[in-house]
Amino acid sequence: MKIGKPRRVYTVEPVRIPVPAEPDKAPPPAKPVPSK
Amino acid sequence: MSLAFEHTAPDFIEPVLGWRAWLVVERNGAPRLRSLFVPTIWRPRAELVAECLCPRVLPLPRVLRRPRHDAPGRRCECGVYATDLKTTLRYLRNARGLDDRPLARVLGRVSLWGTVVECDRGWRASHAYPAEIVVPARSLGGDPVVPLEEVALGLSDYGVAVRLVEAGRPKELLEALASERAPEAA
Repeated sequence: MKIGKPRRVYTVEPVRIPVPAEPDKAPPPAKPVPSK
Repeated sequence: MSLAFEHTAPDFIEPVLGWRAWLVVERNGAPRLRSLFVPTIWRPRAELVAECLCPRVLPLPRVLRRPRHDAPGRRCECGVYATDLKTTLRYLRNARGLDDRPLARVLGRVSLWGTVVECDRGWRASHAYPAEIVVPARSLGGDPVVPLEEVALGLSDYGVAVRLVEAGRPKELLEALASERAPEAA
């Protein structure tokens, strides 16, 4: 990919790394309610 | 007394946001993002750390090779790339999988951080992760291997916004996306 010549170099240290965490485990499925 | 600090203050504390394109390929039954020009798979929920692949991609004689270095090297062409929307669309249109038959071609915004080399029309960075994935609702050429809705659903594994945009041609995509406000920096 052609994006031209380098202009400058800098460092970026995000306060929060922008990578989503693994989702929490899904809750167990609700037990079926027996019909009367 | 001399005070030597290894760590210097960063120049920025928010990631750089740019556009880039990906191929979507199938890995272990799931759609995954793949870089356009190198066979790098972007793993869900894991940052992509750049390494210089030039010795592998460019079979130069040893005397012409650049010494090993951390990516992105200022004088090399390595690093994770991002650019502007218009340039991204140009590359997306012509993207072909060399070793994989891509399921789709997508684009999106990407967060870049770590060491960042700013260039005339984009950036090369040491660390990256998608910030948003855009799936054109109509194929950019050729028939999609799987329905694009299915691709979009599978890409939700990345944990970022994935959306189908009602457009197919690059010009339509440009019009649909250019007017939108950039998402909050992650």
